[in-house]
Amino acid sequence: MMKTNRIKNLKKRNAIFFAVLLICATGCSKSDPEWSVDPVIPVYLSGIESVNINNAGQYPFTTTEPIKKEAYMIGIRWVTDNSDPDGDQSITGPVNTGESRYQNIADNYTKRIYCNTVFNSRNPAGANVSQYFKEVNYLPAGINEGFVLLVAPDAGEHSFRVVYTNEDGEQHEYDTELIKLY
Amino acid sequence: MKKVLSLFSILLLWCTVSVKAQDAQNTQNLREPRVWFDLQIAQSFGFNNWNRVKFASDRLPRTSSTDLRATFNIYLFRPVGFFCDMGIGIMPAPRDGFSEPDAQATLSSGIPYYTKEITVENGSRTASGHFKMTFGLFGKIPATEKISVSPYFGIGFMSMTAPTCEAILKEQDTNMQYMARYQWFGQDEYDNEYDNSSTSLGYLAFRLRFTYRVSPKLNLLFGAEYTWFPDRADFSETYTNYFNRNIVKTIRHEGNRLNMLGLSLGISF
Repeated sequence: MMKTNRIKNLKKRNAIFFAVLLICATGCSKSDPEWSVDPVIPVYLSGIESVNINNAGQYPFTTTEPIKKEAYMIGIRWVTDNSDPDGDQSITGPVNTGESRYQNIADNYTKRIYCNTVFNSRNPAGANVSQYFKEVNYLPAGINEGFVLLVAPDAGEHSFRVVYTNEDGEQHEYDTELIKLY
Repeated sequence: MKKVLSLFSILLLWCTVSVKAQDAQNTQNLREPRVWFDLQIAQSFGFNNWNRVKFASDRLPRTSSTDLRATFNIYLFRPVGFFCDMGIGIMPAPRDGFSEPDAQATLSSGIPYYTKEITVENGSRTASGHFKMTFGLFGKIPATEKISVSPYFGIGFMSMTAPTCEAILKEQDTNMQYMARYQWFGQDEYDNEYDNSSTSLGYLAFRLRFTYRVSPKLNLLFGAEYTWFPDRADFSETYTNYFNRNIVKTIRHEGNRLNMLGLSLGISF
């Protein structure tokens, strides 16, 4: 009887030991994201530049010439900075497999477009006309983002202000050159 | 008197022919097995297009087919029997691939469109294979001791790839873009499943086969055939506003019923 109880206790102790071992092994194998090396070279948005784009043909192109008002598009060039704000000097690690994702440095910014000139009878100079633009992904070379104008303004000379704002209140803005839309 | 003589001559000729045919049939019946197999190669040519819309026709395989088929024949009661054949075939490549989806853009007449991107391309640019199956009835009429004529009538189906093309089109002189979706063979234009890319076309086949007996176990076959496809190669086009996903236009073009004439050669054993 004594012997049977001893065997039972021994089995119980072994089971607890293996359970603790298993928990430790699985717990330790999980890597803490704070410990891992950031594999991406730091890139930060330090400013933007906006340009006028003619989208009348098959391929859009930047221009200073008059554009059809139904085929106007604003292009954005990112001004970037590679210095790490944390001052980390170590070499970036390799990129792990399965980490592909759609992400760009302007994703964390709210984008707005204002007209610097009278857009139409309902939208005076300074009005927010963001809702008339739509982001597109076919762009001329050297342009990082593009917004097509889907509501034609009154014919005449126009300029737009593009404003990028992030959660920290950091703001970048740029005015397009005055261009004739006909 | 002349009329009587003519009628008598015709009667005599008919009697002679029918007696000879009966003799030939009796002779053949004695030698012929109840069940036999044919192996044939057939070449068929279509004499109309898949669809009156050139864009739709040019993006389907050309209407000609080279088939290799095996036929199982069995007499139900002489001289009428049942047949079933299975075959594989090849149709030549379409005249055009999906290189210019803007060529079909019928949104607004007179406004040119550009292809920005082809997002879905489901179809064959090269020669495409297919599977065919036919079953029906045949009759065998002996002409001489060595030659017989067999009319075949059957129904069948042919499997083939149903192409789909989806492209982003841009309107000239404006920022407007459209998603153009082109589909063949009456697939549901709102169906987003691209997996089901094959379709089957039903047909009626009329064949006339001439058999020449080489030996008691081997016959040579020569045939002419006509195939009629009651299933139409319908073509539908749907245009959706790229920016708000509103369907702007849907058009369905009824296809033609394909007619094909062909010749076949083979052996029977």
